[in-house]
Amino acid sequence: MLRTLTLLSAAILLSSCEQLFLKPEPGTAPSAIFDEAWTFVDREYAFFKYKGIDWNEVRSRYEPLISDGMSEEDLFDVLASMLYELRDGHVNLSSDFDISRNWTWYLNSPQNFNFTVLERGYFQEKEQYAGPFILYDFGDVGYMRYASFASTVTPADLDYVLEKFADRKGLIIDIRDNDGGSLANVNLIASRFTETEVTIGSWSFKSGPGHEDFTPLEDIVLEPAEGLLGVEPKRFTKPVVVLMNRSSYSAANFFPLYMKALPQVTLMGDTSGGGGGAPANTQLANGWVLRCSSSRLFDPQGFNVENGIPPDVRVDLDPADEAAFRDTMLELALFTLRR
Amino acid sequence: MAWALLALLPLGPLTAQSDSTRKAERTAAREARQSAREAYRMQKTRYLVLETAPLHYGVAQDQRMMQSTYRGLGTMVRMGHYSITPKGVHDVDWLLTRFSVMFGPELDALMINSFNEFSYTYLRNVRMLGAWQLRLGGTGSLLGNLRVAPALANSSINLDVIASAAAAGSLERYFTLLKRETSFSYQLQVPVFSYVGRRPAYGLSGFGGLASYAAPIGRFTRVVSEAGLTRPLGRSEDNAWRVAYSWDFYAFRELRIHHLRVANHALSLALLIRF
Repeated sequence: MLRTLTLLSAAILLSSCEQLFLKPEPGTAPSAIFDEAWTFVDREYAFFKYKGIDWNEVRSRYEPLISDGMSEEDLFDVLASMLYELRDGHVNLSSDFDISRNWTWYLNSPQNFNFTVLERGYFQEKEQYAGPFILYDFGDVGYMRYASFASTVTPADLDYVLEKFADRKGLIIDIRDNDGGSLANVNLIASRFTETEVTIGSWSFKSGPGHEDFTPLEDIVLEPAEGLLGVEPKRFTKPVVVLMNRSSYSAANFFPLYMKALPQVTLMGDTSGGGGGAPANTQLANGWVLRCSSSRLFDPQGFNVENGIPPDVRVDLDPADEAAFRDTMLELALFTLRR
Repeated sequence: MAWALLALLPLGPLTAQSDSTRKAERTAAREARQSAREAYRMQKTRYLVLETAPLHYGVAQDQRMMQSTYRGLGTMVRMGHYSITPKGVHDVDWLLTRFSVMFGPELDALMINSFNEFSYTYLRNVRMLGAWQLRLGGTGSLLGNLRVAPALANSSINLDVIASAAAAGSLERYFTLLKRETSFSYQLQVPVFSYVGRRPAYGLSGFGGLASYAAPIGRFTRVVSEAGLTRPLGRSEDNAWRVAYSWDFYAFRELRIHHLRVANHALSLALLIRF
């Protein structure tokens, strides 16, 4: 009996030894947090070479600014400045009191979107709010605004929109000021505009700690939407114009990549905002969340779309038009589809 | 032709006799096999196992998701089929859920951990070590471990899918405790080859799939250790109950970048229903 109990105790003790395998708990001193943040980016970030950034050199400039007696806000500011060097909208440090960011990709460009112009110059309370979409019927052309890829889209939403505009000459999809969201929504919408499989580009992911450690390029294929229970989904294969501006970012950068591979689609407006790298997030030991781009995205010609996708037709909002509640981009889209 | 017929004539009765002998031998052999199987079945004890750990303790250190170690409590439910034969034991186990809510050192950071596994273990009686029955064998298992940390936005969902072939061993002895026959057993499983799949960090639903790696021993480490006491239930000699302490730990290093360590401790109570 004693031997049995001894063995039982030994088994329990031997079974609780994960502490031997766990990494030591990371420190929360400013120098430790700095090291964690720098190291995570060093291993995960996808665009050091593409952007010509020497991350070790960046460290050598910012590390001396760290002292263990500094305040949380000061530490945050140093880290935010260091991360700003990456010039990337998908690189953010989030704390309880602030979010570090780089928004120069659109702040240095014309806004090219004014919802008031749409509301007063066109909609005049005749627009329709269908699920995540704002719809407006120009009679011969349909208009569909999607303000965020984070807003859930259902097959029924798409069936409704595409049925409503089935007889129109063309469709305008307005993704200006859409700052991204879910790629599943990108795929769901784009799949309604093709009847065949289309390779829209390729991507690769970080596969190791080296700055150029990536998985082999993998094709991204857009497949036509499939019906449910034998009911064919509504599709639209007539001409489509996608309106975009520099604030069309992340998932709203993927969407024009998908759509430009389709023969009936024209991209119009400004270059999209970019954000081709899917972000990876981690939580630092002090609770702050850090994210950075960790994949690369290319169009079928091998063009890296990290900094945006140029439009087929470049057009800005004309201030005179804007003052008269006319949307220059929308007018050109209507003209193009009515020809 | 005539020679052939002549040759066959005297052999007719002999062949018939030989056929009937062989038939009788075959029948006898079949009956012997059937009775051996029947005897084996009679000696085989089969249980339906219903097990729960109302409270278990989990630890996760997933450096892709967070730099700190997360710890928390949860519950576990398992069912299985356990059979004892004269040659060894078979154990089919279905871990329906081992669910825990974990927190980092900053208690506002939450992670939900859900672990499911299906496994089959066969342990063959090898020898007696004094009063201890030594059994050796193997385990095949498929597990899925889902960790969700809402703070990590599009990286919040992490899933490991691991198929393993493990070496397994156990020690068991019977003794009398409070006038009833009781058994104490200790079992250890260590995978020798695994296939590890991990969902990419980006939370891209439908994109990227699982990144997967063949992981021989050393690249993927897992130890499943369980010590338990089994006793008859009430006055019944058929049914039994078991109280067990188990420790399940696994670790691997993803893409040479991130360390992942997951450990669980459970004090469980099982009902073994004989059928």
